[in-house]
Amino acid sequence: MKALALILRYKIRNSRRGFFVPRLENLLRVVVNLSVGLLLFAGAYWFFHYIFNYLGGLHEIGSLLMDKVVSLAMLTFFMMLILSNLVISFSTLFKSKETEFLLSLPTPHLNTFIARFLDNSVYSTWAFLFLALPLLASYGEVHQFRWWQYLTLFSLGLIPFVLIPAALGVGFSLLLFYLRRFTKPINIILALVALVALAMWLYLQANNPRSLTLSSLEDFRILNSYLSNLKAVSFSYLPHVWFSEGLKALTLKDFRSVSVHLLALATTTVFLFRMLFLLSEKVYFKGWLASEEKGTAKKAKERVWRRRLGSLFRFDPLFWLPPDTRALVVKDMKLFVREPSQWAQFTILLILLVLYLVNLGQLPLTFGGQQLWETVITFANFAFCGFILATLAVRFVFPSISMEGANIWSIGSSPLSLRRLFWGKFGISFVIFVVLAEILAYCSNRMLYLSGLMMVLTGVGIFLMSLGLTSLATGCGAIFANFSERNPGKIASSSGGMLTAVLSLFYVALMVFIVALPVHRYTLHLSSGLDFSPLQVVQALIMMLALNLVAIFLPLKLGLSSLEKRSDF
Amino acid sequence: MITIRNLTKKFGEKLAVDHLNLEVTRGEFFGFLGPNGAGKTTTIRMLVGLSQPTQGEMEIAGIDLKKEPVKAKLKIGYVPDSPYLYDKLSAREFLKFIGGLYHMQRREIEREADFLLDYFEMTSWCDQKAEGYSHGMRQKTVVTAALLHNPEVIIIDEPLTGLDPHSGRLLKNILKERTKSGTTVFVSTHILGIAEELSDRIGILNEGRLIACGTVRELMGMAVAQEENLEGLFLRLTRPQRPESVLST
Repeated sequence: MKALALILRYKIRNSRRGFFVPRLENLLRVVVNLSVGLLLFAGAYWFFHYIFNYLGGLHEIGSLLMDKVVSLAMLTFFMMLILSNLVISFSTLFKSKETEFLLSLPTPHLNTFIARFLDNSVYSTWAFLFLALPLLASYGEVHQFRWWQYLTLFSLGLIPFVLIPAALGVGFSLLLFYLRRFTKPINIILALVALVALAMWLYLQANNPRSLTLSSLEDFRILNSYLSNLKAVSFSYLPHVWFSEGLKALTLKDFRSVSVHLLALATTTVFLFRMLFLLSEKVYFKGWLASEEKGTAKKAKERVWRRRLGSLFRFDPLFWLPPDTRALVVKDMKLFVREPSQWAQFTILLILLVLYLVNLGQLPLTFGGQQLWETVITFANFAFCGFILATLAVRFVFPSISMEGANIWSIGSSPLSLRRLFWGKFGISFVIFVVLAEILAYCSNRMLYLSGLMMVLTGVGIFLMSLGLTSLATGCGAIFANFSERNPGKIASSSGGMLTAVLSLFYVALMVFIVALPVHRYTLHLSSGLDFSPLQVVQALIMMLALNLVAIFLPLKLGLSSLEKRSDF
Repeated sequence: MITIRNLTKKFGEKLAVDHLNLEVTRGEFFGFLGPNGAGKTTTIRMLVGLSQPTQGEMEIAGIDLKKEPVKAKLKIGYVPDSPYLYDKLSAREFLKFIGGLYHMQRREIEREADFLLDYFEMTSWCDQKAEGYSHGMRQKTVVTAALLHNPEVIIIDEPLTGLDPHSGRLLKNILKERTKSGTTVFVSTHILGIAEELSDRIGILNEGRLIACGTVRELMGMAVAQEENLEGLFLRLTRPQRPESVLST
């Protein structure tokens, strides 16, 4: 215990000095980071407050909808927290020089585990708090919470809610590395991905989205019954349900229900932590050893066989690229495939997308000539695609330049200019991105039975969004490049990453707004005979052009010039 | 002081350390030589508890490393080939941290730290953060941390990495000095000069096997010609086995 306290004391001192440095440039960085954080917090607070205020004004269904929004948001946070704890633990608990150093010291392995587990929880959770705190604060504000309600919510509700996924994510990670001794990591991760997919599918089946038919929405009584139905099918053994129910009970001052739900959270946390520590004592060091000894030599025979097979297929699909760019692309592809923390998260996100598409296909959406609904659903889907693209851009494109890491010198000292590196990164990201985005847009539009015009419109919109988001993420990635960090997850959740996320979401929202407004007015014109001038389309086009000119060229220009000015290679 | 019995380490199909048997006595300076990939670092990582053997036993100062790893580590001062430092801590703070983990009293830490920092000429830098240190200064800090608690066994993987000749000389002197007071020093290196100059005994590891072990004089007895020196002997013993066709071209 004494040793753990000592480790934590010096680690905190080390981290604290990373934040509070008296030098002017660092001070400026802290001021910028704080401003970005406050802006993000204030923006999220305003957004949720607006939504909750609006919902609060809807009689009968308002509070039900509000609770449903909180419950869905908490479910999303819960899943994201498990995922981020799992992925970030690869490089905090396992592949880390600091972990190796701590394990070489004369202190039990459990101390190293606890110290690195705390690091992992902080890295994985802080970005979540920037969204969860304003959401809950605005919910409390709308329901006129008193100080003790906030105190109960944050101390007894939010802390266990954050710790449960931390224990689960790290627990999965411990098992993953322990099992690595017996099988290849790809097999374990594929099994994990299949499990996540199955769990999500079962959950969505249990929540039965088929019960939503658009014609029902016209009748509030049926909608009420639909929402009650949703409540009944919610799986009540999940922490997000306990949290949401606890929150609702706190609003109603139903102390019995508050105690039941918060106790469920607390006891689950204690139980999971006990299990986690028991598990770590049994498997952590063995798992760490397995991660260190991954250099299992392949049999010489296997290598020769592979080489021969490779020589039979000499076709190079990248032959059209200049040799240096080709070398960069090949290197990036190989590193991506060989880094489980990269492709595991990418695969899970892809699975979630496929689930989204499958469930979209199961919705019995027939618009019956109601163009208003077609427009609403089209742009809801367009916004969703944009949101997914923004997430992918921040997580995978933003860290790409920083990921050159300590080896940036090999590029800095090679004939490949930094300008070419920058454009190479941008080009690779854009091609992958636009293909993925167009497939997503096409499939989801097909499943929504959209008309040809809507298909073309969203197709063009998604193309522009791919370009805009790739430019934003590459440009900001160069401006906030951090060559000393090896973990892409941590790079994406740095202050630069958060700023990029905010800018990307803002850009997506503006794009949706600019494109949706004239289309909405046009459909109203067709259905209710409202005035519509073609000039509105021209205005929208000019606004879209201006927005994209700024979103594409400005980050690229600033990013490139920032990268070329850097001297810390 | 260091006892290694039948130590074997396999990475999948590859045998990294092959039934190694070694006894290093109290106050002995042992030079551990071998070409790249011979298994030196793997052996050292097993000795400091950062890797577990597939087979075999190890004892440090009579303590079984497998049964009592924490107790055994208290006896060791370890300098890895690529050391880790907390960038935002100064050398002095890092030493206080390490001293605490080795159960040293504050006064004792301060006294030893002052002596070692002064010895390695780090006094003017020791209160600055490690992020500004050169490669050599980082190495000196880690060496200082390894010597701080007066360990019974010092294990160093490549001791002169990043050190200038003057600092290298200081390190060699203090290590030799420590052996005189009973400390065992186990040094893995590529630099034959260090082994020849300092070692009481030298072990040569090749493809995981200890192919030669003895004093410099004993090893020179294995020389095939009178003019063959330690370098020539080392190269001959560790020469890779190549097919005839390759050799003839």
